[in-house]
Amino acid sequence: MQPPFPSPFPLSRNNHRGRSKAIMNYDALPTPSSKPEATDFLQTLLNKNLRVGTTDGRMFWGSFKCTDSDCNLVLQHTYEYRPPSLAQLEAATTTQNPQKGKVVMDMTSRYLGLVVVPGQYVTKIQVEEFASQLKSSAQGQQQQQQQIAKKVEIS
Amino acid sequence: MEQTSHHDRLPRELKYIQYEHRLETQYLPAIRALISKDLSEPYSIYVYRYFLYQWGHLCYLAIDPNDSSLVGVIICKLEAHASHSPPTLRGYIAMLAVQSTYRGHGVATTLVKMAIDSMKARNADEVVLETEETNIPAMRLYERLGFLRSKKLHRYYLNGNSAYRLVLLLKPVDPDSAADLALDEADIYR
Amino acid sequence: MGGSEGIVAFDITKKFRAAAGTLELGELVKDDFFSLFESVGALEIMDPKMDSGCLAPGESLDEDYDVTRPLSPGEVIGIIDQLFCLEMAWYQGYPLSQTLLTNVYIDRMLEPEPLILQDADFIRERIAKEQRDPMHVVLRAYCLGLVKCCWYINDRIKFEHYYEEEDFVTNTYHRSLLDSFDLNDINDEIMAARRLVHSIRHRIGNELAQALGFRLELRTAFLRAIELSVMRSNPESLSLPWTQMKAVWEMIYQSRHLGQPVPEAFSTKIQRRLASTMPPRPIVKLSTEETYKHFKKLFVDGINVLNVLNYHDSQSLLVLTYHQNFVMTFQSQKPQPLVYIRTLLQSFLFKDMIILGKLSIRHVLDDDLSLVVLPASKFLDPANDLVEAPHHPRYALAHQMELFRQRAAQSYLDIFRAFCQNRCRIRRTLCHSIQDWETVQVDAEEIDQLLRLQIDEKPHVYPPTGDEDTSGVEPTYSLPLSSWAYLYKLRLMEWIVQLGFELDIYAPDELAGMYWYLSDLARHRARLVDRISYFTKLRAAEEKGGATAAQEAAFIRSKHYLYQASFDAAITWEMADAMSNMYAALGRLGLIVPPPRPYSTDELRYDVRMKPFGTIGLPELPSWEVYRASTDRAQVETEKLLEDARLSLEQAQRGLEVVARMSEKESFSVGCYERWLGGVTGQIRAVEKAGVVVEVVMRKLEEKGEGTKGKELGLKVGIGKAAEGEHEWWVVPTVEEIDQRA
Repeated sequence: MQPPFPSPFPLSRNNHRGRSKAIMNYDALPTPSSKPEATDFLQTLLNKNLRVGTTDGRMFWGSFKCTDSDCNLVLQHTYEYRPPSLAQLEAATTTQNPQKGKVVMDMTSRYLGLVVVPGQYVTKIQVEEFASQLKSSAQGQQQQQQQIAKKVEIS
Repeated sequence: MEQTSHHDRLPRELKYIQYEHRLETQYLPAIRALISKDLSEPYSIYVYRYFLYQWGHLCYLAIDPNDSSLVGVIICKLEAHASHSPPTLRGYIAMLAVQSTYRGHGVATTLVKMAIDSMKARNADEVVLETEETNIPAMRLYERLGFLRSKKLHRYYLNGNSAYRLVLLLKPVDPDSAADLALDEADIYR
Repeated sequence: MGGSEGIVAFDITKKFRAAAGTLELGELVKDDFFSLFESVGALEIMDPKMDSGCLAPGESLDEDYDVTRPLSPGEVIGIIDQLFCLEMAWYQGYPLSQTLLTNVYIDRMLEPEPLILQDADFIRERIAKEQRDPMHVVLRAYCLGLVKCCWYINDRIKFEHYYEEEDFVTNTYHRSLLDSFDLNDINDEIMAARRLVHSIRHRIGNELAQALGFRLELRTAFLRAIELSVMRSNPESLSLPWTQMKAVWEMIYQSRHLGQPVPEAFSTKIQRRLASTMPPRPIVKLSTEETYKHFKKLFVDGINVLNVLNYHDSQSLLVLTYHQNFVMTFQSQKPQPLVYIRTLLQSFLFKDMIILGKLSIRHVLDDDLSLVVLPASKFLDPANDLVEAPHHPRYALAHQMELFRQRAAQSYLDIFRAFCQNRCRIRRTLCHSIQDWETVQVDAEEIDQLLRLQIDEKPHVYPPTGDEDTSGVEPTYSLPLSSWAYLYKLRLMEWIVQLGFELDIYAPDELAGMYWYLSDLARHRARLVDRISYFTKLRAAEEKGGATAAQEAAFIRSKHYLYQASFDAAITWEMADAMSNMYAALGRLGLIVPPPRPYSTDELRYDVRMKPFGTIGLPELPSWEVYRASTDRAQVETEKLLEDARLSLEQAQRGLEVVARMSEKESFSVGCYERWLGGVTGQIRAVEKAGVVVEVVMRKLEEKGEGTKGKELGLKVGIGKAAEGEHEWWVVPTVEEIDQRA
């Protein structure tokens, strides 16, 4: 069998090659109950950027390409984000001004390319949308939307 | 010695079956585990989906009837090879693995034969595969069946090992397409 | 997370799970443009075999190793020596993630990326110079030099023709290898460290101080060698740093016992932080002895490759290229020239389309043509270019020759380029080249016709009949350009077959057939060289008297070349013939037994084997029937097969002995004579060994009588790897006498 992992490094994130359906407010959607509804829902997500949390605390950010019944997710052009380790936290606490009661640190990230996140390890799935393209009618939902955090704040 | 090892009673009792989608829950994890143990390259679940979804009929399992456990597996595909004109129908043996305790009893040969027979029945022009240069038993197995080494691939695998491409031609080469056959897309000189 | 402004994220965990749960087992929702085939390259998260970021329970990503701890001189030597092993593994084609980037000191030095040289340090806090551990200063300076070397080498390789992952991995995993820092500043740091070592020599002892000094000196020399290699003149001065490295390397090796290993300073954990589409891989373990041999070879090759700049003529260039690659067999006891050396060779040869830094392609091409087919020919007279009258024959000659050069130049250079690749690639590339040369030959024939009209060439009967009366025999023309192209094409075809032997492509029972085909190709080449010689002699005779001294010299040079070429073709022809007969006999005697092959026929396998040659019109691929009849020689008795083999071996040996006595110049191997001679003596040994095999089999056959087969003959035949034999293109079997009753 041919060797996998030819490790091409992407020049740009090209995640709108496939079809991408209309922007929508996901919180307003009911949980899909019938199979056609469910497939339709999943189809809508294709080629959108997902943030997938895993049981070990990491988060994977990439373009959604495929899933199966076990929620094994294929993400393309993926970056791995890892929260700071305890040692890094301690180091940061000593160097930063602790008076404010919180420390600001970068999540460490690195490029991984094409990944499969097995459903059994998935703890959280988020989909990204551009705020500007969201229907402004999504009133009342704002508080549930989370601003993307490049930094993690630890109180 | 009193003790007869497990494989002495086998393999003629082994059951050989064609893969079917309904067997996924029962056998896919075992297939992955067996191959992951045997092959130098790791593959994700979707690599198996890729092959089994489209070419499940070219996948065969060797099963121990006593406990229904998986003893061996072969995974293949068969598709038109586009760089040839007219396109040839090329079979490809992607993975072959047999539990170490059952080796040396022709289980792998039986699986390969079943796969080739199936490809032949589906009108394949040729069957190809790659194997690690250091994997002498695998090369011997294929060469005994009629495969020839067609080229060597330098440092083909992640572990730095080289490979041979093995080819089994099932039908005569169309003289008009010989030029295309000589030129493989991967070899176009950059 | 990139572009976070204005992006909102919705939690869809529950909905997603519910939706996916409605899918059937194995059913997929998939982007139509995404092929599952791509998933062969996907990393499965949380699978420790694929996910480098996957931590075992309780495991932390943090390095436990303290880079600020004081180091003893012995430890610094130990770390540097371990870095040599990893550096060499990288040159050999393993990625940085498995080699140099497993070192904690280098990792800390490069990450976070230093913006000023002062920050390119594994200890980032500013410490007053006098308070620093001098061993930290030495190790840092060494690592600076090492990483800068890697940057240059990576950069050079990327510029040339190589195969990523196969020959070399240029990936730096988003680490910057001190790209932006000035080489002089880094040199200063190394020099400062060398002075520092000198100043503390009494404290740490002379022996350790010297050992550290050698290691730093090697780095200085390496950087100098790299710096100089962009120049392509004056090989003597270019070779100075290489010679220095070669000498210092011995001292480094001899002082290796002073090193104290620090295995904790190397960790695969660093892979978890590298941007990588690859699964986790272990640190490559190259032994000290291997590392020593490979570096030694690197420095020797570095000196030798510069010889290519001493240009003599294109044929010796080709021989040089071929021998340069000759040592590249994967098996060889001698380490193969590394891709960096091949990169240097390529850049010396072709950079900016100027051959060897001083010659135009036209120059090299015309030189080759003059040597092979057109010595002292008016076709190549540069004065033709000065004629401006379009109706003047010389104007037409210049024009036609220019057309030909344009047609042939690329194909010609591609042969050299191909030979700069790894052995597997050479063979596969040549399979394409012969298709190209087939059309070069056809086009050349057309130009030949136009040229002969311009000079009003008289046809001759060839081959000469010896009769006065030549009526009824069609006379022919010299056809120099197409002869030249044909000669190259035949040589390429032979190389493809020969590389097949070298790479162990052929099965034992194919050897008789493939050697027969090789002998057939060599026979065509021998005849072609004869034809070229004949027409060259005719022209030399015609021009005798009127020729200048320079023209005379050109004729003589060409004569020498053709003499040597005809020997070469004849030897290959005889040797291949001998091998074919010998293997045919061994097959017939049941000493080589073909596998059962229930799914294949002899004819189908012939189709597979001869695919690369199927489209070649001249020489046309023999039909399966001809091939089988010529290989099996069914009507000939086995004794006769063996006797023929013996006679051919004798002929080949005689030829090889003549060739072995040729001088550097006569053999067109200036600059690579020793390697060339090594090849010839290897062939002689192969002939001798084959002679013994033939003799043993003949004797046994005589003892046991006709009709005795296989084991009953009391013989066992083995076929080893070609590269382990006397000569990789001549696979000689081993014969063992066995007790047939056993």
